[in-house]
Amino acid sequence: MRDPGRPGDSPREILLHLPDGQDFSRALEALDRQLSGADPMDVVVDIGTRKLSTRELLRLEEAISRHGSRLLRVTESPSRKGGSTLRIVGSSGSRHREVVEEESQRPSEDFERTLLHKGVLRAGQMIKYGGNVVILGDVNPGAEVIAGGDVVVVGTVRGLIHAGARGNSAAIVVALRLDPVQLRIGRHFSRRPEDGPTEEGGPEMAWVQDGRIVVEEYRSDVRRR
Amino acid sequence: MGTALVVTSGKGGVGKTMVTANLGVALAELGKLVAMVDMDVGLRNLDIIMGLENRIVYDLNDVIDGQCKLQQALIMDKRFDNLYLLPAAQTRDKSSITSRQMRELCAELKDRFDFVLLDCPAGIEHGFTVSVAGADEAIVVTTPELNAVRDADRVIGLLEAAGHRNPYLIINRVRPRLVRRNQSLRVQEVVDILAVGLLGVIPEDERVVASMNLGEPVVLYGGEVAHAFRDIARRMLGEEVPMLPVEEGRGVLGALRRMMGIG
Repeated sequence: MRDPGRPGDSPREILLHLPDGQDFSRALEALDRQLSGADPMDVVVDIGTRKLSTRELLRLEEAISRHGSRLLRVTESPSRKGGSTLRIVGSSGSRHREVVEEESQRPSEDFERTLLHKGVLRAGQMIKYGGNVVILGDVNPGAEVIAGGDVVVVGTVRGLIHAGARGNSAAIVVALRLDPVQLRIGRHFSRRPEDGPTEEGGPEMAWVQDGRIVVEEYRSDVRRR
Repeated sequence: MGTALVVTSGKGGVGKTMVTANLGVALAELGKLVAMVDMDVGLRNLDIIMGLENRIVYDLNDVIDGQCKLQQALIMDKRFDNLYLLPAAQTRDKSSITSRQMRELCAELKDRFDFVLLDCPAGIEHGFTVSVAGADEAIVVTTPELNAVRDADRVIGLLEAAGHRNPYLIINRVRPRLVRRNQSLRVQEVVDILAVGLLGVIPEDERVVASMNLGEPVVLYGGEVAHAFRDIARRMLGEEVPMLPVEEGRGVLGALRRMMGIG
C-alpha cells in the first residue's frame, strides 16, 4: 500500500498541464517530451478547462505509461487567466513548492498574491512562487526562495533569495536578519560580503537603489520608495 | 514495547556508527535491553568497532529473506549480555531491503528490546529511506563544520517530510581549541541553524579512533567522550542532565564554569 507520508516507498509525483486552447495531439506531444528520459513517476494531469473524451483519456494514459510512469489522476482547474497555479511537487520526500507561471494578461496582479510558509526552509527545499512569499521561520543555507514579488522572512535568511524574479526591481526583501549566501532582486545580484554578517540588530530590508542592492535597517515607510 | 531510533547524518564520516555503538553500550550499562542494527548493507562497519566481526553467522538479509530466525542472527555483545548486534550483509546491496520489510523487522525487534538503534548509511537514497521507515524517532549526527551542518539540515527536512517532526541532534567532534580561535562553528550556532533539540555534544578525542580500531567502544575507556555518551543515554531515559561544557575544554575556567553549571 502506498503511504504518502514516507518518501521512497512511492515514486515521485509530478503535475503536468495540458494548456487550454492547444490542440490535444500537440499538447500530448509536449507532455511526451516532458516525460521522456525521466524516472517513472506518478503523474497528475491538470487539463484546465478542457473536456477530454474517453478516447483522449486513453491516449493520455497510454502516452504516460509508455515512459514507465502512471497516470495517478486528472484534475480540472477553472479558468486560470491572469493567475498562477500553485503546485507542490514531491521530490524524494522533500517539499518543493513551485508555481507554474501562466501567461498572464495583467502581470501586476500576480504580485498581489501571497504564499505563507510556516516552518524552517531547509537545505534542498525550494519555494518558487509568482507572488509574494512570507516565511515564518529561517531560510537555511542550501534553501531557495524565488518569488515574483516581495519576500518577507520572519527569521534569519542564510540561503538564497530572489525577489522580483521576473524582472521587478522594485521588489524588496525583509527579514529579521539578513545573512544570505546570495541575494537577487529583479535582475540585480549581490553576494554575502567576505567579512561576514553585520552585527546583531533589528529587522533588515534589502532593496535596489541606484542599480545596486542595499541592505539597511527596516523602516516602516517602505511604500514611499 | 521498545523504541526504534535511526542514527543518521546525510554526510558520511561524521560518526554515525561510532555514536550508534557507544549509545548502545551506554544504554546497556544502564540496564536497558538494546539491539543495534547495521543498516549499511554492503559496507558494514558496526561489527568491527564492536569487535564482533568474527561471530557473524547470519545477517540482516538472512532474517529478511527468511533464511534464519531473528534470534539466530542477533549477536550478543562480549561485554554486556543485554546488548545485541544485528549485522548487515556484506555481499548484498541496499536495494535488497524494502521499507515494508524494515517496518516489520523493527516491530519484531521492538517487541523484544527496550531500544533498537538503526545505524543508517550515509546519503539520502534508498538505504536512508529504508532505515527511516523502521524508526519511531531519529537522531541526527553532525560535526561543527558547515558542510556537515548543511547535510544535516537537508536530512532534517527529509525526516520532517517522513513524519519525524522532532529529531534529536548530536554534535560530534567538537574542538575547543578551534572554537576559541573562532575557526569552528560554535555549538549554539549549529543549534540555531538546525533548530532541533540538542541531545548531546561530544568532544574530539584521539582515543575514539584508537578504540574503534581495537573493537572496544570508547565509552568503556572512561574520559570526557564516555561521560558525554553516558549523559546522552540518561537524557534518552528522560533524565535532566546538563550539557557538558565541551567547548570550554579542560583547564581552570572550564572546570569553574562546569561547577557553576554553565554550558
